[in-house]
Amino acid sequence: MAEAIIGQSIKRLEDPKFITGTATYVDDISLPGMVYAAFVRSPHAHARVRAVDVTEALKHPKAADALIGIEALKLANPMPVYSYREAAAVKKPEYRCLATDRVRFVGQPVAVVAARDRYSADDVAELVSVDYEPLEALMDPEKSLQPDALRLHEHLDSNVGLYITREGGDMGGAYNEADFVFKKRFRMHRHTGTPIETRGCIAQYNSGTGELTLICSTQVPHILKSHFAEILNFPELHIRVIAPDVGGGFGNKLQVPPEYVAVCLLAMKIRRPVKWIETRRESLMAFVHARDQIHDVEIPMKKDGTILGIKSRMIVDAGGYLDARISGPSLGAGMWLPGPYKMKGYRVDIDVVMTNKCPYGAYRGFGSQMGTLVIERAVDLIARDLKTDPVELRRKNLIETLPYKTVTGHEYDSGDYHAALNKALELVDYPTLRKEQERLRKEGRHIGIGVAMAVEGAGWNTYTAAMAQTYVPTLDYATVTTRMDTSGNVKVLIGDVGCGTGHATTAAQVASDALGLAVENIEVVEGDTAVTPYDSGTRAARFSAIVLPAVAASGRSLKGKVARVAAHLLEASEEDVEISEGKAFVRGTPNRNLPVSRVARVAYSEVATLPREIPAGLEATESFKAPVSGLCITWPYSIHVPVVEVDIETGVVKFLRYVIVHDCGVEVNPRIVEGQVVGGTAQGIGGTILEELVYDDNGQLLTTSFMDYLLPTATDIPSFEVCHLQTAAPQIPGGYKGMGEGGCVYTYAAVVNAIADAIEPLGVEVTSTPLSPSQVLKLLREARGA
Amino acid sequence: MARTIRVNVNGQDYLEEHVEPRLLLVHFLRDRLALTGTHVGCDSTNCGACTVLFNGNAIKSCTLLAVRADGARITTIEGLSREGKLHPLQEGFWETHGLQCGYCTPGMILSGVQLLERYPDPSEEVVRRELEGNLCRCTGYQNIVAAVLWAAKRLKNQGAK
Repeated sequence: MAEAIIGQSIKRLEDPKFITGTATYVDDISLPGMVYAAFVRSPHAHARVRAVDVTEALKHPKAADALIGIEALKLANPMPVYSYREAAAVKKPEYRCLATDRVRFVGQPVAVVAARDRYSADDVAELVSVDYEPLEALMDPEKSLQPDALRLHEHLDSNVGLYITREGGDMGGAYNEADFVFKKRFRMHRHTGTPIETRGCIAQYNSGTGELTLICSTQVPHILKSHFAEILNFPELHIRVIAPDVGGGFGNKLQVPPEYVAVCLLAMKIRRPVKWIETRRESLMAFVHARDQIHDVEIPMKKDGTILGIKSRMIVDAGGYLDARISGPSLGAGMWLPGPYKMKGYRVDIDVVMTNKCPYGAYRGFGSQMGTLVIERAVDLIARDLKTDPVELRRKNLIETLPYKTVTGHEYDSGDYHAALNKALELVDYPTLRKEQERLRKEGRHIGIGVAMAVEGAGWNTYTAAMAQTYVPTLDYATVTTRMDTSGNVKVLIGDVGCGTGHATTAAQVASDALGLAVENIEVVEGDTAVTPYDSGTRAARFSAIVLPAVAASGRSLKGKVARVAAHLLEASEEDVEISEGKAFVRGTPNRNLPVSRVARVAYSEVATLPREIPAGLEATESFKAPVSGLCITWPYSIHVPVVEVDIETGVVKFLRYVIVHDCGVEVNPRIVEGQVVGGTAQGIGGTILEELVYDDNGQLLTTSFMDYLLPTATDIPSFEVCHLQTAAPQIPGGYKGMGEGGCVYTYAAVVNAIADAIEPLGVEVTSTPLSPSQVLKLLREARGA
Repeated sequence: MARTIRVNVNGQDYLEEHVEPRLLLVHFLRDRLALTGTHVGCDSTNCGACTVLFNGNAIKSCTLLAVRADGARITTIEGLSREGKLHPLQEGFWETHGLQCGYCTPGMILSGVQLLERYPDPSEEVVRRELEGNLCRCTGYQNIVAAVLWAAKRLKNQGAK
């Protein structure tokens, strides 16, 4: 018997192209006759557009054509908005691919031009003249909420784009039993995913076949196909979306980009392929922004440290329009507030508020990192008030046995939260560390220990038809086709996109296990809607929990078909045929065997040798439907314990250690899993201490390059110590839980708690991010002044 | 005025006519020579996705004009493996899972080549410091550092043979 392939950290099968420079990202593709697009974007945060004139631009010798907002208005429907049931009746802001009469954020596309080469496209765009009448910019969501505030979308009743409320358990009872109510305002700042590959697309329209092909950087090619059919009034039958290699997604690339719509319209207009590659400046101004939320929180408590419930009034700064993914991170933050704790009730009231900023969308964690920051910071502050150790307060409230039905209505599936917490504390040697911290504090060194935990949730059912308007299904599922060729090798066709996530390897391992073939004989194909089955894409850490069971099912189904042909050739009964290491053999008599390649040849070519009832060819398509109908499908969890030292002279945070204990169920390839954990954590560190999208009062974005928007470098990020626990997901075949949101969910809370632990003895209270050096110094200054 | 330039890229001589003075080296390599392994990530010399070896030095090709490359010897990721054999840094990135989406990888590898020329036996701290000019959004750097250290060891062993 071959060694089990599941659980092995094999080298990634997709890597050779990446390390030799032969991978194919959008910008690496050129089509005959292709022209380049450039966008004309608003320099104002808020303005009326009086006129757009492309006359001079079209005189440029290299200009191909141009498209402006009022032309696009006739050709395309508005961009989609993700709307919850409660909001279905609510009027929504209208978001067009190119602005028509108003612009509502700096960087909003107003026109698109095409020219024969990249640089000329920029020259042509500069010749477009736009007549703006600047209007007052609304940059503070709380000011937007005031009744006398200027209305950003005149047909709405207020500047609330979306109002969502959720309640669970018995919040009234929680207040009644409370000895006191902890109240605090928490805030997370605006930042985003910034994949190193920006957005980009090539649109090609063939008037003869009527086919529109969109090659683009996206995580969701099939969902884009459905949306584009709606937006463009175009038969879905004739749209093909291809995601080639994608240079990072992080949820940002779940977006339905207005720019891609405009590029499609332009390609149809001029009947030539049009390529658009976003610059970094454009990307920071006009790709999705994320995270920016305010929570006014109340936590009814008992004196003995029992948490009774949590309530939050949330403000989400949505920007000028509602992105199709807006309510996910809004609702997500609310639903993650109870965390891993027992409590009686919860309630969230969410105002998604319009301002003159870039629209707010999805970014790794999808709100869960904010909910986690709120509850985990609150637990630390309550522990301080009660003069108890924050770990003890956690232990008192932590869910004891699983499965556990939470106040949010979710059923946390499996694992042992107490054991995981204990493991993390043991790895850092918590009691010794606390003594060491005390000793160093006397020497004037400020060490902080942060503890944060959460239950992550993987997979995401939208569960109401209203929510499924953006094609994320009400009950998640995946469909996979596995096809053997005439030489016995297998292609696995999956409709999502591996944007660095190692899908091609992980899926090949699962297919190898199901089929009895070596991974070398298996190739995974993703991302092309003309080739792969419909799939809702790379989102919500769903790959392991939803897609892998479908891979296994279709692999087993194909194996059955191979066995049927082999049984005939081996003159054995089908049930007695086994397939292992590329051979089909009769159980018990391994000498009676055939190479699978021989079986394939017969199934495809020597079809006459087979009985009529055995079909020709070797291919199987199977689906896997989520066995759970709640919001999330499986419940991975982690404990993060960073140890930091804060330099109170410079505000710089240095990591001394960073311990992670996580449990994402059965791991197919532990090294790939660890890569996701570590990568997500690094992203969270950047988001906590470095990255910020800063607007001035007039709505100009001040952070328009990586010189101002600081991504963490190799010297900002520590080495991580990762401990893997593997409690199988009870409801998922294979036991996988999914974990692509990875460390990003926990890091903010853990790092903020660590920094707070270091500086709160100096009279500081930490309730907001970022904790950049300047922010840390500001907090310390304020404390000294007080 | 467009100019004619001569460059040697990955051991091959090119005589390229009509090179616009404003053409950036990265676009010259990608659009004119079809060497698309060199990527653009930030347009401002911050991310290092466009790193190539220019007369032996790792430079960022997104802020160098192609005309400045007249007479230069350039190595891109496509020219790093010899006779189909991966360079130890390429092997290292593969062995240690030093990449995820792969977009920053060519630049990381070429910066790594220079790093190991300067510091054949680097500490982790040196590797982190020397890679500060190359941004990765996926990996959290841990395995990139491991990849460079793996390659250092491999090169040392090869040298000892």
